[in-house]
Amino acid sequence: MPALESFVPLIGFVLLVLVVLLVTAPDRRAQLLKLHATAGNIAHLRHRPREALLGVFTLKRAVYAVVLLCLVSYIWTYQSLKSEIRVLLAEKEIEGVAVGSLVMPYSAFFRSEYVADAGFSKSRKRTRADISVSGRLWSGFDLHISEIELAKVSKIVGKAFVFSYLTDVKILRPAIDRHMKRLVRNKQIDAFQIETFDNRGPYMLVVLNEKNRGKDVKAVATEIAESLHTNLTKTRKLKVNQVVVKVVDPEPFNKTKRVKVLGRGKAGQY
Amino acid sequence: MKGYAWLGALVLALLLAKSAGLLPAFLDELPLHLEKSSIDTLGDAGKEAYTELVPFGLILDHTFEFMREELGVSLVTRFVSKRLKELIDIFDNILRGGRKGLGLSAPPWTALLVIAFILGYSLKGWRLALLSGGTVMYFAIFGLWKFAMETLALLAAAVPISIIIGLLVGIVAYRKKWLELALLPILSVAQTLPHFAYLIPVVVFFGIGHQTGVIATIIFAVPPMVRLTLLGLQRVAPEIVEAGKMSGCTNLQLLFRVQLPSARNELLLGVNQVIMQCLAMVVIAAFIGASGLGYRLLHKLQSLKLGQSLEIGVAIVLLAVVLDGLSRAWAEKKRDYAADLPFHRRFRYPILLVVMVAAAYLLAPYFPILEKVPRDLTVTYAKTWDGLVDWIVLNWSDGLTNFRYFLIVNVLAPLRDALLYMPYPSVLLLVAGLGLLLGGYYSALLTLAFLVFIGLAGWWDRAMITAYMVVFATFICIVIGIPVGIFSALSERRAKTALFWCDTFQTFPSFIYILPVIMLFQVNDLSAIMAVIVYAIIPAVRYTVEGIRSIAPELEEAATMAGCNTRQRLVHLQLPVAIPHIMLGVNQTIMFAFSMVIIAAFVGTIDLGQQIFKALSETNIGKGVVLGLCVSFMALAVDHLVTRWARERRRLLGLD
Repeated sequence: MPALESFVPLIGFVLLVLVVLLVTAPDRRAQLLKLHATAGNIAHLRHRPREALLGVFTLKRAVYAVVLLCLVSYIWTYQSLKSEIRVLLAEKEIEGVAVGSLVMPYSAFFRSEYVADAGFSKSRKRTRADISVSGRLWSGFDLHISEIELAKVSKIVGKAFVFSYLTDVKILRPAIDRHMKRLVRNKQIDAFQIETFDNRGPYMLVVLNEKNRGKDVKAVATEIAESLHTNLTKTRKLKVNQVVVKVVDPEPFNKTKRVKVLGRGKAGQY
Repeated sequence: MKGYAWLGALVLALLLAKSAGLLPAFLDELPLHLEKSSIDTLGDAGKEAYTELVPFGLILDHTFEFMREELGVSLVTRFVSKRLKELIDIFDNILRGGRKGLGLSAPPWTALLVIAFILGYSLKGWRLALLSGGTVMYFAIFGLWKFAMETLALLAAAVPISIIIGLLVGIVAYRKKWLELALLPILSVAQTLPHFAYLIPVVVFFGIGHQTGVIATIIFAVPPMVRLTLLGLQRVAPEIVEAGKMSGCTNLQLLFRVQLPSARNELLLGVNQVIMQCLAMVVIAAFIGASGLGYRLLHKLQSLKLGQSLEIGVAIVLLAVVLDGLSRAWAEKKRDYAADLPFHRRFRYPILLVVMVAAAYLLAPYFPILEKVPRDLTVTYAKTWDGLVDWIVLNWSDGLTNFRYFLIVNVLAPLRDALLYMPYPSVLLLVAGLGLLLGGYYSALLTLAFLVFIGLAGWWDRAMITAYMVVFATFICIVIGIPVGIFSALSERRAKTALFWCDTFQTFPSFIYILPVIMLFQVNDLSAIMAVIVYAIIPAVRYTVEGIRSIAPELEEAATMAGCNTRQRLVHLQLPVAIPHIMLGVNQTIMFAFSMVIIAAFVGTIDLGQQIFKALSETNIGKGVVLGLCVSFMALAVDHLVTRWARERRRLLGLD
């Protein structure tokens, strides 16, 4: 849980205060006995008769539990998502931008797809952008920001955001398919999938062939990306800014299409 | 009753004459809103004008002008304003750092967290400790730290000054009977005067800004402290005072060593009241530029950002609950004077506080999260609430619109018209009749005088609109609140729960109640009435529960022995005996309604509240004060009649 690591000193400090309060309390023995008794009650909960168990679940406690669960899950998801957005910004090569407040559904913890409205700031400049989130906290988030939203963020960095080429998905898709199938036939890769397109160009997921798996994954990914980029731009004269190839772990990908990226490479300029 | 039937007959005759078109114009309505008015409030022909039959506003304007310019009061106010600003800067600097005030750097935010935990624990144990610590965390987590600290700085400046002034005035009034007699009616008016009416003269004398907010807050918070100081000193048993005198105390020794310590509970209750009043006023003082949570809330409400408003509202509520809890716990905490403890045990918590704050300071340089409120820590729930509002608008819009339409067309508008177009002599006769019936000639004359002032001041029609809103809201509060109170009072557990919630809701600053109604009903006059109902229903429930639960056990026992079942006991014993107390609750409900109806003008009404808002924006001191007095006099008239009746009823029941 990297998102919560920075809070460890705070949690530690609050616990320290509470412990000091308990230790210095004039009735600490009575409090400790009470605590011990409560712990004992919880430990022996399953040995208690059903009626007594039902008595434990009062309406008030249920409301408290729901409020607590809601708050904790919300804050946890919130912080994790914030750190993921920072990674996304780094991936998009946007530097020096602070991620501010995040606006997301209160049930985000339990949902697998939603849009989060994130605030970004650099010195006095501020903006907000929508980020599509898929996945869950425990299985990892997959974030996507559209070009228009990304342009808003780039604007506050002062980065010249040039739309060199608009990605023409209809023309590119068959050309990419043909090239990647050739790589499969040449036993360089076992499988491939177009993950997404943006103004950079295509993002590819590939499963390496047995013979390539022992090699440096990043180098192989870059090699595949370069071959695809050359094929598309030089041979077929298509308009692509950049090609990104992500090499994925074969086992989860083949079984459940779950993506675990082992390495990535890119070709072209953006 | 029969003796006053002629008044009823006169009212009826006037109404009949009006409906038949036979009533002469001078008996129908007061000559208000003339095209060519004697006083143009805006000083601009063609705009709205009103006529005062007696120019109270003009007289007040000239008086204040004379005081400000000729007597040099403005020099004094400017001096006070400057000193107060320095004081606020010092507290602001202590809490938030910066170059102003003492020029200190900001303390670690965890120092305040520690103080909240330890203060709560030392006063009332774990629950209060977690509540106060949790509130400080809430400010940090929801990104409201800066605003909360600004509010705390204003409170830190206003509360001690209010306490000192209230205490001093209370002590002098206790010593000088003539001052007490002179103060009591002033305190009554001051406590019923709407919050906004305080703001206008303060703005005129002190300008706009934080310090003006603090001054308004102090003026608003002093009356309860004076009252409770007086009450506390009067309640000190004569034997105790006598014992003090016999021990050879001088007057000062008697006051500081005997009377004030004996009145400790009332004084600390006064401190509690001062803190709560200050918080309520600090929120409202945002209208004249006082910074902090109130200002932020006002800003967000004005742009209808309800989600964010609600987050700020929760922060204000939490602050109110914590401050109330801490001050109440302090008031209730008994000191063991006899215990002979060593230094480290007697000052256990102050030592702990110093040690833990020092720990916060020492650890802060190594762990940045302990030093400053981290931006990364902040979250917001605003989207959720906005989503809820959108959902309500989407799904309930038709139902709510129909409900609103039905209520306005069939209930509110006819009720308003009935009051508005009732010949003014009918209203005066009705009130006089009620006065005669409930309190005799004195009450009749007093309440008539209050209403005559409103008529002469030129605000009769607006006052009738305010009255209709209060009447309707009070009626709904009674219809809902009293049955809820009766239901709660029938079991001890329910009674405790009801009282707990009433206690909690009563700590909320009144401005907060506007939030949920805007979420449900948008901005219109029904929202204002709903806000009044939500706010004013609390005393109706509370006093009903207290009234029924406080019946003497021997009476209950007698009813049981006579074979009464629950219903019979309720109908024949509990309700008749509790009625005077319940009526005091109704009285409080009416007072709350008057106070809230003015604040609710923020969401669009056309009553006195709206005019007070206008006066505030025009900084029209005469108009503002006269309007405030109109509201206050209406409230005082009702208060006088109901308390008289309740007292008489208690006397007849042999409860006094």
